[in-house]
Amino acid sequence: MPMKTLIFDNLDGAFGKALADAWAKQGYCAIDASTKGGVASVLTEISAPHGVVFTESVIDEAALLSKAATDLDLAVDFTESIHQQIIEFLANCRAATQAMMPLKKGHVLALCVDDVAARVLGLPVSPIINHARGSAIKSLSKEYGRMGISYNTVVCQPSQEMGKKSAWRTSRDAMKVYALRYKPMKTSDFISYLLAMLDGPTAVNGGLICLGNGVMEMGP
Amino acid sequence: MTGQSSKVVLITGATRGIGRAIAERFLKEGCRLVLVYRSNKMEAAETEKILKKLDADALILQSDLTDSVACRYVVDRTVNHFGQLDILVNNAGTTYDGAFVVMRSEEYELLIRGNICAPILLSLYAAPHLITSAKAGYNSTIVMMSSMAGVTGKEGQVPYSTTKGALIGATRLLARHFGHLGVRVNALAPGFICTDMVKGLDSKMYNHVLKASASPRMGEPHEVASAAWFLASNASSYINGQVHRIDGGFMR
Repeated sequence: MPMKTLIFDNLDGAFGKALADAWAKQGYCAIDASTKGGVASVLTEISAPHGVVFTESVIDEAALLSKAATDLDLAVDFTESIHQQIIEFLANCRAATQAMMPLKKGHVLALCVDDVAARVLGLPVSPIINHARGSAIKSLSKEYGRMGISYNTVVCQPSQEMGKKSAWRTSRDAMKVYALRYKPMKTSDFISYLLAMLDGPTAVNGGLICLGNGVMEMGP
Repeated sequence: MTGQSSKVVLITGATRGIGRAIAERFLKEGCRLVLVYRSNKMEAAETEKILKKLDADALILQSDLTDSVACRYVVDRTVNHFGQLDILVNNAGTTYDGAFVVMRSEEYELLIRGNICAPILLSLYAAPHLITSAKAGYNSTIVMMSSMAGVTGKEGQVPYSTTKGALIGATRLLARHFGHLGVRVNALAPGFICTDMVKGLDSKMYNHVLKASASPRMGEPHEVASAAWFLASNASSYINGQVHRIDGGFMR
């Protein structure tokens, strides 16, 4: 079996960590770039990466905004955080594209957590970074999809394990926006789909794929 | 007029293209204006001339909004001059186009500051005044200027589309935060509008736009201005956190 290397920008989020574990369990290589000088640095040492995964943001923009709105002296801290995340994300996208262009294949996958369900459950929400990633991935797909690289954004509802039992119980009515008798999926359900996407035939490029139970929408 | 008379409106990027059209529209509706421009003094002088001719109650400020201090300054100056702020139109934006793989971060660093950090900062600095206005019974709003590139993505515009996508996320976030305080936040996503920004469009692309649009023509700045006015007015009082495409039915 060929060694397929996936580079993760970090393993701070539950989905990113579970995907890296599952990838390694398949006998492949999963690298946490945050412990090795970042994505660009890791890419210089790997001749043929299978793909780069941007794991879900765990920065709670709603909490940062709330603080900034209360104390305007913190407003710049908030926007600097956004600025830094976008700069890093784009730099890593560029490094990934440059590394995979000569190979004429590869995956760039951006993971996001649905901010509507996350908000209901009291989990961190990151609509700014989610939408920034989604738009960047679409543009990259249009510009470099012809090079055989597939760029996709996957937006997952929070998994069962991510929310506390009490939070799921109290949010039962709110989750009806997705479906009646809504039941959260397990992390493993999401991971199975992501593994198939990364290790199977590439039928999607430039997609903004929403995973979860019921009807999900992200943005316009 | 539709109940917005004498409202104070702060518009960024207001001396050219879509921004100027928005200024003209809000002026026509009886608003008092603060128009912010970055660098083009000739266009600012021309705008000032028009405003004088119309006997407009307006203030024109030169400011580079990529600087956070400037963002605070324009809001403070607006309130010091007019005593209130009711509507914020975050229109200013720049683009940096080209092949993404050969771009360096330093080349689009200011684009990110101007297109996403500045609108968020202005919204935060304006918020206390907008909330005061909402409490007084006015319809206080923020209008963000996103882009079709932020909705559908656009080759050759990776950093630009990223910032315009981020602005859609910011619209959702700000709308949720300020909605219960009476301040609405919405965004517009214009497609191909006849402005300097799309003047360089080659004929092949232009023809593609015509073929792919339900309304086979380029849009006019005043058409975006009408949508901005709608979102800022009482006519849209139950619309919040949304993105409206102004693209003639462009099908990608």
